[in-house]
Amino acid sequence: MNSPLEQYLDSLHRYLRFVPSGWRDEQIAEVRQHLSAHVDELTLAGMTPHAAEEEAIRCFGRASQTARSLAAAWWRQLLPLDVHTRQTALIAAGGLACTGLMQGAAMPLLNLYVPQYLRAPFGMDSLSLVTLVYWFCVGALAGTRGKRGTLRGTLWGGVAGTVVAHLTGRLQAALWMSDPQVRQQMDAAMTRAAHESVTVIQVASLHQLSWILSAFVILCLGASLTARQLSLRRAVN
Amino acid sequence: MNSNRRDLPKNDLPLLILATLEDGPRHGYGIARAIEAVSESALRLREGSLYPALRILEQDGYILGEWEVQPSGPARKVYTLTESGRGELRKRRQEWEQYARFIGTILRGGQNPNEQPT
Repeated sequence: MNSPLEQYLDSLHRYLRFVPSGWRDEQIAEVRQHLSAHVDELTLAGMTPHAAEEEAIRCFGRASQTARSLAAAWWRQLLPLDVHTRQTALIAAGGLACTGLMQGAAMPLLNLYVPQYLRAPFGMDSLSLVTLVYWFCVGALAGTRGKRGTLRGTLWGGVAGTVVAHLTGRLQAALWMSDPQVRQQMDAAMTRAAHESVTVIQVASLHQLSWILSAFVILCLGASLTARQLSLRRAVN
Repeated sequence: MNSNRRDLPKNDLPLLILATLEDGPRHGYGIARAIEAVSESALRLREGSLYPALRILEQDGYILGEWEVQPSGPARKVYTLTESGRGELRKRRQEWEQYARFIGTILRGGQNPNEQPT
């Protein structure tokens, strides 16, 4: 069986599996050197090697905590921003990619299933709703930091995110519809949809998929916001 | 052992590392022991927090870390304060002293320590 020191270094290695191996090995070598030096000192002071290793590890702190801080330091050199700005930027970039994919899927949907596609809650299609909710959450995340975690800051951030997303969407739609060819295609699709029957099951499953996706995204962002609020409250208290 | 041991706040660690390296190059374990010795064991440092702080100071160019091969035993990384690090230390030290002076003034009920009581 491995000694406590080796077990500790193994868990540190496991926790740091998402950083480049060269960088990780260097950190682990340095931690090993630190712990070994402490163990030597404690052994000289009269402790048994096993007890000395356990004491050195206790002074060093939990492997998960150390790994988290080291990984944050690695991310910092990659993106020189603070942790929260980085999280928001990553979520926003993910949102842009998802929105792009959904917009790409919107045209075939409109061509094939116009009536069902447009028949969604609150008078808007489900894709627009997902996009708006998404950007509310991104804005709320950014606002949470900007106003040091107050509820007002979160709400203002959310509202700003939604307004910007809505205006961008309207601008995009206006530009899209200003193209006569697209306009013609849209009119043709509307006329066709009024006369043809469509496969309801396919439409239903596409809608379900988009709602499941939106529920998942909202859940993740909600959890992230709650965690952020809780950690801010802990920091304040 | 000091009975009034306090956990060292994470935000103060970079300043203490820079101050410790002002006396000369040290490796990570040496920095931890130096902080403990100078504080007469009054400050409890979670030693694992030292390395992320060293990484950040290294990235900012305030310290330089170099692996040193020893005649006996494994290689160890030794840190040296850079010129930019000395400047940063001076700045942070002044800020800290000013902060401590303000807090001291408030705790003494607004009386400036330099004023002679009448």
